[in-house]
Amino acid sequence: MAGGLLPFIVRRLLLVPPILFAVLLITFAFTQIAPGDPVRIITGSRQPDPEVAERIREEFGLNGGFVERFGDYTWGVVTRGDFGLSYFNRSPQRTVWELLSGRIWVSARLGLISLALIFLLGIPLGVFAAMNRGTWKDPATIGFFMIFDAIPTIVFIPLFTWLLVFGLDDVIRLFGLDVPSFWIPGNAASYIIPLTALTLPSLAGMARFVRASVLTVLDQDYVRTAHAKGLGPRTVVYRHVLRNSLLPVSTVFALSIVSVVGGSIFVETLYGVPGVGAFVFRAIGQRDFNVLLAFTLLVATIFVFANLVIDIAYVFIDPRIRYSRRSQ
Amino acid sequence: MTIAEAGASGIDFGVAPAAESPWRRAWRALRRKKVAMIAMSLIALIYGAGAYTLLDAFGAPTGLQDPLATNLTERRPIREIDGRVEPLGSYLDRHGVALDTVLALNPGLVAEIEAETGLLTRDAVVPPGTTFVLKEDQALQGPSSQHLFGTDRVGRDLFSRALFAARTTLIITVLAFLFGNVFLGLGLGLLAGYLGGLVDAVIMRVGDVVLAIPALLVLIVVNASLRDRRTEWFEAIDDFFGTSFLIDQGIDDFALLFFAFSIFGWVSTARFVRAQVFALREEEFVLAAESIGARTTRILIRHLLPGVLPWIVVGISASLGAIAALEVALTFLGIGVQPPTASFGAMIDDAGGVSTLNLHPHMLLVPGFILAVLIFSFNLLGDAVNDVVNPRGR
Repeated sequence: MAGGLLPFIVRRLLLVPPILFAVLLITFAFTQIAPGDPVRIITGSRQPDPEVAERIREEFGLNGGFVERFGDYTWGVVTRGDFGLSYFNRSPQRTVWELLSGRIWVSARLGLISLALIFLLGIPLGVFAAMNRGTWKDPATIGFFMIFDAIPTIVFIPLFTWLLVFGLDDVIRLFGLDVPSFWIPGNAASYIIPLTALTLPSLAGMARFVRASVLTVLDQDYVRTAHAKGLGPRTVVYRHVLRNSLLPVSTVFALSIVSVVGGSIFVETLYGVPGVGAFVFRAIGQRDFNVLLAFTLLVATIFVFANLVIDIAYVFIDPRIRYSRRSQ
Repeated sequence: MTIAEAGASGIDFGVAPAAESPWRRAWRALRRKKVAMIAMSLIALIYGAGAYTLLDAFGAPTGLQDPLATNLTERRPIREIDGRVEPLGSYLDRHGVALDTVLALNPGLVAEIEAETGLLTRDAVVPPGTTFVLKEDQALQGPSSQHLFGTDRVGRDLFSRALFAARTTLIITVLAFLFGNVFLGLGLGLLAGYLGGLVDAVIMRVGDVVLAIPALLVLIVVNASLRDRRTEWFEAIDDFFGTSFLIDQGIDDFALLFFAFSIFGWVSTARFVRAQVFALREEEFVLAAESIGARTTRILIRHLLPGVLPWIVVGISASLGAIAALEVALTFLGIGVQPPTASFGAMIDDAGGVSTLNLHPHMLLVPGFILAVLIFSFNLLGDAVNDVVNPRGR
């Protein structure tokens, strides 16, 4: 086996910058071939005053060729964490980073809780389905949660909100909850709808993955041995099956992050959560390309690092994994 | 004794049954799965509805109401033309409305006029300035015999909009699948797997980068930056062929959608195909083909393609479902199908939020339900097909 753990980590780390650079290059290129002069988008006027236009070009770094602008932008991002100026929030002029960082915490809190819920609920569901293989309970569990995977968020949020606010409001109040029909800062009940909308669609996928993983382990010889030597079914599951079948589940982590971040654009917009997702939604309509660029880069970074951490953690968890030429 | 009786009595005729093709065997296994058959029927129903409205694209009558025609109150005054009051008949013809409709929609006004001048006929001359309601307001109606699924905010018939939306889904999903999974995925996978070396390395590294990119976000940037240009491009293509078919059918609206989807859809297919080809190309029959001097394209198409095709078929269901869902997401973001083209995303988007749902539930429930059924069916069918082809894990 060539190489050790450290070279493996270094090699994986070295792959990060080129990937992020490619992402940046591709998205930056697309914002540049966008029709229409950015000056028009920024000023909101078809015939901007040439003097104003010149000042804006200077301010936003729009002068120079593609390579020069791309170089400036990349240099700013890498050295100063400077993602440029927002095209739309101009009085006072805000930087993209100011705007995003002020909104990140609401989104991060929702996203992290939802991620935790996906694992905390999805794993038991998958184990339950696997243990009930061959009975109606297995397809019924997975099938039930697949329904939520099929309902688009844009449909689910109004339906669920209607259910809690108009349909079942009397039942909900019995629990001492008063669920608002849109986000109210500081109101804990506001979390219910966005969290449900972010979590439910991913449960089927998680449960299915866990189920498949558990089933693979159930076929192993050492499980049969455990049964044969007279261990109770519970002990076998907890001691022998679960521990080994949950390893592959960590690989779903990065994918779950992507689905939660993607979902946050819709959930936050529809429920009025003042987070990054809702902000990006507005930026799409306004063609605030600097915001879109920064958000894409941010998410790509999270995604790439999540994958990296999982890959490394995997080697620690399961020593059988050869970290030398894994990607082959 | 007939042959059937002989067979039933268990007499062995010593004839081996013809070997069943793997396709046929898989199909039989799938047929036994009730869930898969129900899912397939539902998909066939929705896609069939979409295919039916394709008739409209070729100018054949569909018997459906125009999915784009609004039905809002329309009032028009009787005018004087060249100093003469126009007769009712010419007024009706000018607005394309029947006399009976006007009589039915304006009972009070008609009674008033008839009291003064006698029965209203097409020859009657009505005082200028008289304003008749020509079209009844049908906005936001619930389901009725006239509008099976009700109407939307501007009185468009939701039944026919749903059918035309199914057509949009049909076109987008099939084109995106063909272009992304089959053309790019299968093609690049075959090339990478068979040629290996530099070609393989380049294709696979590009794939790595594509997979590392959050697809939705890049689609957003791509669509936001190109949405004004695409219409120009398709007008240019139309001009080239001297028609306006593409623009009339709204192809420009979703061309970018399926194109963008393809760019992100090919990687997993290509990886899979490549792995299969790696195994196949060591087989004797490929060596034999090479030894008699078969060209690369021939080896790829005649010898390797049949081996990987089943795996493409397995992926159809899940891919189509994912593309259908993506249309809704992108349309909500304002970068998918553009109004007034009917699509499930556009219909759901029109339905708005909770308050609309409370007052006019049909607006959200109709497209939401159809789409959820479609995606759910695709997922169920995909699982079933997967089980048939890859029975481990059952």
